[in-house]
Amino acid sequence: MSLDVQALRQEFPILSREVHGKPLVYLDNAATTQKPQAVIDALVNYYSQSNSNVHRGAHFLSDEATRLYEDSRTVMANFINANAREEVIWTSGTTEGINIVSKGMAQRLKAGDEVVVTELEHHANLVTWQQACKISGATLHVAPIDDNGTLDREAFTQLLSKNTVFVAMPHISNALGTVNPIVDLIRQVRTHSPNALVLIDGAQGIAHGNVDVQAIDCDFYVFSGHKVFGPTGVGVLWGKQAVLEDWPVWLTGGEMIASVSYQDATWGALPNRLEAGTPNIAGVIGLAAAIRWFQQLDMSAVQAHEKALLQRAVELGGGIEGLRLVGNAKDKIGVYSFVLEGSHPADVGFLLDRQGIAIRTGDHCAQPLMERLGVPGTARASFSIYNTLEEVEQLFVGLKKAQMMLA
Amino acid sequence: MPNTNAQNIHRIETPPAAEILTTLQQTPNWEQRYRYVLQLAKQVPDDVVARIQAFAVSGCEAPVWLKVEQTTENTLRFHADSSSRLIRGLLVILLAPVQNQPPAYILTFNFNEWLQSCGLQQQLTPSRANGLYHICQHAKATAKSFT
Repeated sequence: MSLDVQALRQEFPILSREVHGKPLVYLDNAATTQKPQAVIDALVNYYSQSNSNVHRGAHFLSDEATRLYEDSRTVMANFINANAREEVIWTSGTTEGINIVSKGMAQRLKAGDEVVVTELEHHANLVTWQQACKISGATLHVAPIDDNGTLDREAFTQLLSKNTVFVAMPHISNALGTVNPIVDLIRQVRTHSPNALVLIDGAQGIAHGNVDVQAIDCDFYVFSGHKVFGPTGVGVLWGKQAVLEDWPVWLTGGEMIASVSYQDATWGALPNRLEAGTPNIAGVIGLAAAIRWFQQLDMSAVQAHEKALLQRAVELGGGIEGLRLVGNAKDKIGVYSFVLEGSHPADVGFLLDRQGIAIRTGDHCAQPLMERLGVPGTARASFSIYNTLEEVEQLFVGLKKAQMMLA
Repeated sequence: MPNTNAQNIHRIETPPAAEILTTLQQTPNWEQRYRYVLQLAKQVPDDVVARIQAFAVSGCEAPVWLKVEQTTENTLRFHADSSSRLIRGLLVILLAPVQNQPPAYILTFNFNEWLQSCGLQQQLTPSRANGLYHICQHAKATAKSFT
């Protein structure tokens, strides 16, 4: 089954708008994806019909909101093949998810412990661990990449020891699109560092489908809803039940307790113990709508289409003098990061924007990675399922114009 | 620290504000307008300001350097550069009307209105990536330190 991209585009109202008097070509999907009508409707319906607080009301609407909210958890658990729905913790996004894990881990880390991350890290999965190590006196190791942006597997394995207690790495690099072989890498971790827990930053991985947390065999998989066609401000921390059950609580307050006296409190069961306060109910319901919508698609067709978009970009980019592709891993998806010789990425981004083409420029919240690759930043086009080959072609027509103007 | 050594002052080699305004007002097409901005960028000498930390303005997506000098007539001269060619050109436009003006004038100068009359008001949104906004703040703060 192939992907009917034109039909798909009809479901995204924003894709038919214009910017600067030009039809929008939206190629900033690694920053956030657009929302299909199904998600917009779910948000509007929730606020029009079901708005109420969850888990505590003694009335019809609260029951209805609670059912929608908890059904969403089941939808998400099935989507990522969680072993139990209680393993799905709603967060505000990837950053909060990683912080719940790193702040909890910081309480357990001690001098002599080792934490391993990679050079591909987004700041959210680097600064968190760097700070946890600083507080606790643990050592942070950074697994290197080669000049193409591929993780050096041998070096990664060499960093693993009996003292390694935590490994954090991205499923897919946001800046380069490199897909890490996480199943193999985690196998290495289990062999060499049997006591280590593993967190996968799935912010970029989740939108490409086929995330099976049990097959991956990580301990935590975290992502944001807005990268997978859902609303902003909602995300998922998935963790193995046995690990989450006694994970240090992050926020204390309402909803997460079992009993409270003036001097003491005990924590409730999963998932509530890690979800203090009134959650982002509308966001959760909107995210479930996004997942239901996304799941209807044929994932192999989705991936074939995304591959075709990237391949076309690589072909066309090869014909532009002075264009350097940044990140050329064999296994990559969704991201086309580049620099134009002699031009600042911000100028390239600005001149593309004037032509209706939306990309991102800068360091992509990965300053150490940019430094490692010897660039101040890049221009990054990132693709999603609703992008067309024509749009990729427009990107390069636009780039040629920008290059001419900047000459 | 404000540099008051008048002998080191670069000549301002870019067009005066009035000429810039006329050119931009007669150029409605975005492409031609930004070609003009890029042309202005080319007129800025490469050594207009040393690209060192002391002159760096933080908060811009592309690095920006700004040096302010006081002339013997107690006016201020701005020397600005950026590794973004567009920003470099936009800095010429932004600062043209306050070049060689007394600090008090710069303090009350409305950069927003100036860019609006040039048709470049969208360049001054206070977003994190926007260098010009920070330059305006910086220019005013510097002017204040000379009053």
